[in-house]
Amino acid sequence: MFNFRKYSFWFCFPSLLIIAGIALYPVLHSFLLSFFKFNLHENVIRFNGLGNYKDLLIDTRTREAFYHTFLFTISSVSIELVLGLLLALFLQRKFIGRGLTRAFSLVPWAVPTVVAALLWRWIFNDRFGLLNELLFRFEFIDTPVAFLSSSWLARLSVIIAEVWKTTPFIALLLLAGLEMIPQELYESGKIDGANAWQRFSNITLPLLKPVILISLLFRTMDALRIFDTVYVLTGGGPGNATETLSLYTYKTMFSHLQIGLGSTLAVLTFLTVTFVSAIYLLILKRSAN
Amino acid sequence: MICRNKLLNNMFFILLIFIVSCSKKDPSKVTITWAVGKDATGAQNKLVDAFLAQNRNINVRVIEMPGSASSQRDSYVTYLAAKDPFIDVYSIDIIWPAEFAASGWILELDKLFSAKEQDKFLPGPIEGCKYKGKIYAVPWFTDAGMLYYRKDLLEKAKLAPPETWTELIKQAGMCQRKYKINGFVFQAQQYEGLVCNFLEYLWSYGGEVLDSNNKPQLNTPPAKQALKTLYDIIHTYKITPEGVLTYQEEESRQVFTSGQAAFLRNWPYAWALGQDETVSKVTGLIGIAPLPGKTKGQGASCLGGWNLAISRFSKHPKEAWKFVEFMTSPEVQMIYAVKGGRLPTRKSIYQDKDILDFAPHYRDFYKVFVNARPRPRTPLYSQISDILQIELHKALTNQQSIDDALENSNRKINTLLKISQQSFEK
Repeated sequence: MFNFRKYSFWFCFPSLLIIAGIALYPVLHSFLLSFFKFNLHENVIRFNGLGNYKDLLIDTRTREAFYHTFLFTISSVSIELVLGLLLALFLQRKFIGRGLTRAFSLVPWAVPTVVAALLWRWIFNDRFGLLNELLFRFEFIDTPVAFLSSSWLARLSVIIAEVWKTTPFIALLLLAGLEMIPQELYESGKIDGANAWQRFSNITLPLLKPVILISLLFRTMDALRIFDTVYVLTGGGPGNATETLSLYTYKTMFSHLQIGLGSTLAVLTFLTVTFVSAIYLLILKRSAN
Repeated sequence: MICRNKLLNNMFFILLIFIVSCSKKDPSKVTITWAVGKDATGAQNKLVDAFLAQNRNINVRVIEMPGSASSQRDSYVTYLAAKDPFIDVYSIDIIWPAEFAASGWILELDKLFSAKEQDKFLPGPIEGCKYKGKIYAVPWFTDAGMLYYRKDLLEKAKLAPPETWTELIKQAGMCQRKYKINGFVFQAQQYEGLVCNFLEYLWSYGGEVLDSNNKPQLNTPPAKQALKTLYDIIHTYKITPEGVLTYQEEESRQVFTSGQAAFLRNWPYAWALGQDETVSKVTGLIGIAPLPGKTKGQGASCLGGWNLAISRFSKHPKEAWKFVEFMTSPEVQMIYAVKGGRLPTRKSIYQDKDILDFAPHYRDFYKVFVNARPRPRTPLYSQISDILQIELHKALTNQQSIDDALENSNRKINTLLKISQQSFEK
């Protein structure tokens, strides 16, 4: 008899090797480099123990980068969830031109992030920007506002650009979830006298919960690595008020060529993402039981 | 069996010879590789063709790099840190020679590029290509900050272009009140351009980032006056658009060429766009002047521009030098100026009658270029610039005082230099 157990490992081995090569090796290598002082200029590697970690954790810039990253993640993901759910509920209804609307609502997600960010950069511009023009026309303001030049407005602008860009993604996932809920449940709910809100909170939400959790997981992991939007929109400004972890990592690694310190930052980001994902997965597992 | 083996063997040999002969078409010909940024005009390729026609025994492979300077540096560093001999000639930004030289990535050129020859070039770019008194690259084309002004508005008010910051503030304020446009636009987003702008104020007040002993000089009176002037232009006199703190080159250029500002600080590229009727409402109304100073004649421009350097790992440094020499020769610079719009680094070209007939504005450009200065020449420039970008922008966006910004910059740069000293002093 052919022993599948025995051979299955060897059949999977080549693909495991490839995965290890492109996923595991860089992560492990970054971990290793994070314990070294390594600057591409000198091309000499010196062991530094936990020195890089210590330097970064006492550095206010790292703390601020963490703060901005979490601020953007929490606010953009929660707004996206609410808007995405509303959009999904709307797109599920039957109306003329639904297919077209569904297709169009995906446009922001299909635009490359850098292009979208450039677009928003011009929308927020004080002289030629669309937003100023609108606010001006409806007489909310009488002098132009430079959205990207004050800390909180700039942070808000980043969040708006992020929400615009990725709400369709959440809506798409939730729409798929909505389509999977059997219509009979709503019919029997109606017969039992449940109103629209009761049907939503007792049927839709509980049955949609796994999909919501999964889309939150995807988006949170993604949002914690936010780079392009900030890089193009503000470059980390004004006065570094929007610099995120990945932007700081990029500057350290590629602009300052401090590979060791940059790896340490990358590892910190990696650990943060892993930790947050683990929490999500735990909740998912609980809710599945 | 033996027979078949022999046949196989023979075939193998024939194949081997074939491969070898294919890869080495002409053994006397040397191929050098040139890494250079994208050129939309196509002039670069014509220059390479001219070089090939003159040098039959050299072949040139052109590797086109991304347009943005920072991504170009990313790929250069990857090659150089790995000691890769693939690229022989690098085109490098004026802020990289110190970094590349200190890392031992590019060849010192003093024996090939004599002091006498260096004298024929603009002084700023030459200084920018030097590190610790030795020269590491040849200036190829140049770039510097200059003042664009609305000739029509100044003529109506019977004013000469401003020579001091005070004059600029006065004239810009007058235009702003009278014509309901902005007085002055420049680049003050948190990015490299902000540092360029700040340095021009700093130098004009007689200040410096690093002194000759490599000590930061930002907590000095000139630095305070410089930052105060920049701050006042934005917040006290309010002669800028609200968004100047979010502007890079293009945003500021558009405000000016759409006729909404009286003065603009920008690089030479804005000249051509200002004369282009499809994008500019002020064609024919633009004048160029050197940047103002604290007092008359003290203005200084921040230098940009590109230079050619030879890789330390090149296997054909002789041929590479031949190529660099050719590309920076007077004839080629002249062609590149006319066909590619790149500004020459040799002084003589700005006196050339044909060139001045073709581009009369070169006369004004020259006045700017002779006073242009390179940014601090240190291998740690990118880190110093990063510190300045953050601290200066914090002061300009009212997140900290001018004194704190300069005090913090000075302290951070000092720490950085102390930590990194050993590594570069080996």
